[in-house]
Amino acid sequence: MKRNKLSRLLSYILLIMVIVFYAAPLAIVVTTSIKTDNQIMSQKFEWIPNPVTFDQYKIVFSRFPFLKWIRNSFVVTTGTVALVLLVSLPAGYAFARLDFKGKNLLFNLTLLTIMLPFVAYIPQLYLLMHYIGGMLNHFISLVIPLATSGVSIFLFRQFMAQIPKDLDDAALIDGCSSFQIFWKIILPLSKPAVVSVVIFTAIKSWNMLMWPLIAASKDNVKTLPVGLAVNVFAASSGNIRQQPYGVVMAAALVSIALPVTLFIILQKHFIQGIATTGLK
Amino acid sequence: MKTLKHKSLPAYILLAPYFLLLLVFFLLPALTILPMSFTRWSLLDKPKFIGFQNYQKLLSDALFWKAVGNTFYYTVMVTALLTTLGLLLALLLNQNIKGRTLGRIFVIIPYVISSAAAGVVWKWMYNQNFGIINSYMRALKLPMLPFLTSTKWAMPSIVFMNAWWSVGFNTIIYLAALQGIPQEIFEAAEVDGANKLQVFRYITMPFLKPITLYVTVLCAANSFQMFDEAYMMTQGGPVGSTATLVFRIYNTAFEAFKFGEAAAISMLTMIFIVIMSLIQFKVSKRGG
Repeated sequence: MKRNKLSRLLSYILLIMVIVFYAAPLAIVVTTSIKTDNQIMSQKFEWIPNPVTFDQYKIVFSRFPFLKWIRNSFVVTTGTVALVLLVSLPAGYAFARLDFKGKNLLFNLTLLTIMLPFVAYIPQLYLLMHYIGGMLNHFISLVIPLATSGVSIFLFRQFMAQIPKDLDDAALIDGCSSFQIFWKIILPLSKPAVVSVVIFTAIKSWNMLMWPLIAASKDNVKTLPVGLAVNVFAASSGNIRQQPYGVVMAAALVSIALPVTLFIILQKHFIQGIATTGLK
Repeated sequence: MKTLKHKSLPAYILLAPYFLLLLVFFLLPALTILPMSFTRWSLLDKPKFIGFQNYQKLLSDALFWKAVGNTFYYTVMVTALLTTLGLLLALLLNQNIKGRTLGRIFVIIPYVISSAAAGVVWKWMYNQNFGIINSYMRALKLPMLPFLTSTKWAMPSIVFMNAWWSVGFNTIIYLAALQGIPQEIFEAAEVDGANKLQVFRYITMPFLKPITLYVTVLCAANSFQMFDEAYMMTQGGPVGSTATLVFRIYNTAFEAFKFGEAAAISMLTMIFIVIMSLIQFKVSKRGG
């Protein structure tokens, strides 16, 4: 019995250490963002600054088109999620439940998009969009890359293959077409898979850095991570005398506020999403 | 034959939108990597065919091999770290203790944070003079460390940052797997007088084996493509000590405007990916 108590105590100590380690960087963002530049350049790190200032936030919103970047990130994320669902749901359904010629070949081609990393052909995609499409610095160039990946199709296929075939047969006897079966039967039953694809596509799209860095350098399409990395961070680091971290942390906090809040609200769906679909 | 064709039509219609995207924005660019790798092309002039010169240059370039070494070092270290830590955190957060939900939330939050934000936060924490880690080192009279500014420390510092930033995904997967083990087996083991270590060794571990393979493969595939952390925190430096293959592709194409050479790096990267997949396949076959 005594041994049991000891191991419980050990678990609690470990749990507290884990929470401190994972919460500390977030706390540092918050405290640094409400310090003055002089307080930041102090030899001792103060957790609760005195006095507290909100000037860094004022600078973030006055010096940079931050609201515009937020809007752009919204447009790109919504567009990406919509396009991913539009192309992957029907394809996942076809692979899971229909028989057709060339099924294996087409499915292997889909798997190839998962195996060959996007980053390997980024220069070629850039040239394609630049020379042929004239798509650079348009939202469309930021929306497409995640939709060409077959990951969501793979997930939908796995999920839809588990739905009992009897449902289709009954619907076929009633005279439903494949399209009607997809729309009226399979789609409503695939809601859990749709929820997780929406969540993960949205996170990926909202946080994407390398491609938007290359494809969207103009302010009218610039997304939050690029604004944070190039305009707020790299530009202010050029000034050696000053540590720019007050402004940078304020900007970082604004940029993570939405995903973190949404995660806390939706954490049940989120964890279940990875647990049920991420496993397959 | 005619009936099959007729039967296939609905499937083709459903697949058409995706395969149109795949054809134009995946297959077309992917197929141009190889021919492009035999050219010299700066975008200002026409591409010029130069045979294997790009490959010859790369294979004798110390910086290229440095990037290969960095990529493998990072992949192995991050995969080992995240797989082990993910499992340990899941074991802790699966126990029936108060505050475990709070623990789960904090462990997973960094996973939804962008690489740009995570990069600036850790760059600030690693700051040599005013960063939090060194300010405690100073207070404790310990030597202050040049985390991101020395060739010795930069890569390990980037690896360690992943323990915070990206372990959440693995933790959730392991948690789900732990909850999937039938409770009766644990109860039976307890009745038989097995201790905690034995339960872990003979019940939990075998159950987690397929999940561990999945987590390892996914982790290795992701970390092989590392770019964001290096771009945000070190720009590949100091002296190329954190430049990975993907970082070299980016640098060669979009800073040096050598698109032919960048394509050759892409080709070699893909060869390394195939080699890595074969190794993983072999290991998993032996392990399973």
